[in-house]
Amino acid sequence: MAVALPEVSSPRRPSRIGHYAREALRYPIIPVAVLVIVLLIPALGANWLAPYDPLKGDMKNRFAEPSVQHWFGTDDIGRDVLSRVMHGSRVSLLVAGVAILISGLIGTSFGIVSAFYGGWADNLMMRLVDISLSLPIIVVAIVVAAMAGPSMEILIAVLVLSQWSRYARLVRGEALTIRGHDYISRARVAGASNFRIMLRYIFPNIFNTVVVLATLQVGFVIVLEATLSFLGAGISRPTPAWGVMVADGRSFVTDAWWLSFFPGLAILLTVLSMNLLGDWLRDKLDPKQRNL
Amino acid sequence: MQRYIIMRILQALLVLVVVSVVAFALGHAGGNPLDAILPDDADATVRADLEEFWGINKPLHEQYFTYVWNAVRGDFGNSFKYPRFSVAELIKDRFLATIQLAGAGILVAGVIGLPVGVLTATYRDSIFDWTGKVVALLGQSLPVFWLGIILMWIFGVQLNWFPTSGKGGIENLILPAIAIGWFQVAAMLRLVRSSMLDVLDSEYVKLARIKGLAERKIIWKHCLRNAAIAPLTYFAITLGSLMVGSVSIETVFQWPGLGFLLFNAARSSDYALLQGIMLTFTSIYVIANLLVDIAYAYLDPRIRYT
Repeated sequence: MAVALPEVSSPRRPSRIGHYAREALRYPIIPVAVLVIVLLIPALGANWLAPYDPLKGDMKNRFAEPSVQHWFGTDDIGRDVLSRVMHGSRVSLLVAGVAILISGLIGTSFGIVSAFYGGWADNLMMRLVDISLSLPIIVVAIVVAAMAGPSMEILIAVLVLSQWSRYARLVRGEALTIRGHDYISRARVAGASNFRIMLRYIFPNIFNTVVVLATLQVGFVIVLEATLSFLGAGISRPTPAWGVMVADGRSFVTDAWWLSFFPGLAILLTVLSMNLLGDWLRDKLDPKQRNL
Repeated sequence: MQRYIIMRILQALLVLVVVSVVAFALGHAGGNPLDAILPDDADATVRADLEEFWGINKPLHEQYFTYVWNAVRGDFGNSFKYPRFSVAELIKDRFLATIQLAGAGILVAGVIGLPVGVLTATYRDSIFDWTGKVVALLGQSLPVFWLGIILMWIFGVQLNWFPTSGKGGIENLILPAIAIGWFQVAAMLRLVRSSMLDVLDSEYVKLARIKGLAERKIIWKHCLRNAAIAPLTYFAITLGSLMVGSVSIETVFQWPGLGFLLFNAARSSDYALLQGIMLTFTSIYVIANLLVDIAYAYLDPRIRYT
């Protein structure tokens, strides 16, 4: 008995280009590529790759427009803007990296300890977090820098002050749920010390959350650092920092747009890619935190 | 609810105390001001008289209370850089300019964010939706001071449509307002989009469609009225953080507001002025946050119990 089978069309072989396009959307290839080109390569290799000395001026060649010799032009004392932008990525990466590492460490330990001990200690610690979250950080930073003189150490301290509480609050919430799990009580029965429980049983379970938050915060920290440098409360001259370069270019905006444009573009590309990467990482590692 | 509000008020007061102590300490970080003012061989009685006059011979905690008591009454001492004005006068003058700028920023966010948010929600995955997504993403990533300079370059220098800096008529306000409102446009867009999507899915919208009302009328009248509540309440109370955020934009456009005053005070190490602005900004910020929290707790009972 012959049964009429519905005709099965052979599956169309997906085109190669379409395949790559879909893959590119699935993984954050473009943001990572931008980060490598704008941030990582210049930060590591600025000494060899930068075409000119970022600090040495050339008074015969002031305000040169972008050209083959000077891709991004030169500034008011003839320094090459491209070289300065490349060296600036090192400053941004260093400041943001150190600030995020320290605030992540402080915030995470704070959050775990707060959740672990609970009670009045938890209450007190969370009020501290609330206080630090309700400081207008830009204003505080400007005042502190004006009093103590701007320096990289103070800049990093201010950034840590503005960031650590975000980790503390998030980690505490996560640690509270983990503390209630059975394996924590079992570890205690088996004789694990408080410190061991926090480090070996609670911390590994919130590590992903911390990494996701840190990635999402990188962009924010870079913008904050640039804003503070722009306002004279961050990196001081003549160190090439993106925020300072944008600030210096402001006075010459009528004649030399490239002074502010390129360092700002570097900030924009870095932060944009970091945010996209952070979103992707969050969906991948920690899908519950959709509202981060 | 009452307990929550009382706790929140106490916490806000605590923040203000912390900041006032910091402000007070910074004023004393430079050592005894008389060492700088008086010559080394100054007469001891002159010195004692001056110490008596400025109250620096009193114990620190007394000095602090005098300082706070004066600050609460609006007396922040005198500016070094502008000797003819008191700090309070300077702050009062600039305060209105900052409010004006922040208000204009909110207006920009409403005028752009509201309609674009509605369009992105109604035509999902269309060109509007994608534009909206790009705007929202850029809103998070653009450094506002850079945006300000770029706007200044395009519309002030190249096209010569608007003045590049200073304060004057409405034409001076447009560029800084767009620059400061940009981030808020992104926030507004997301809020409107998500609440519009909720409303579009509701029963009364289906009923309106069954009744045969024009789609345009349904969206802009029936839906938007209901969807706009959440974003509008958010905006009424975001003024505080917008004012603090105005520091960099005011500096870019040399807008004579509190932020630009702060920038200048920092450059000229005008400590009394710095302290005064810091206390003013912090008070605005803390009070605004307090109102936001209370409003949210009122609207969303879950907050009160966590």
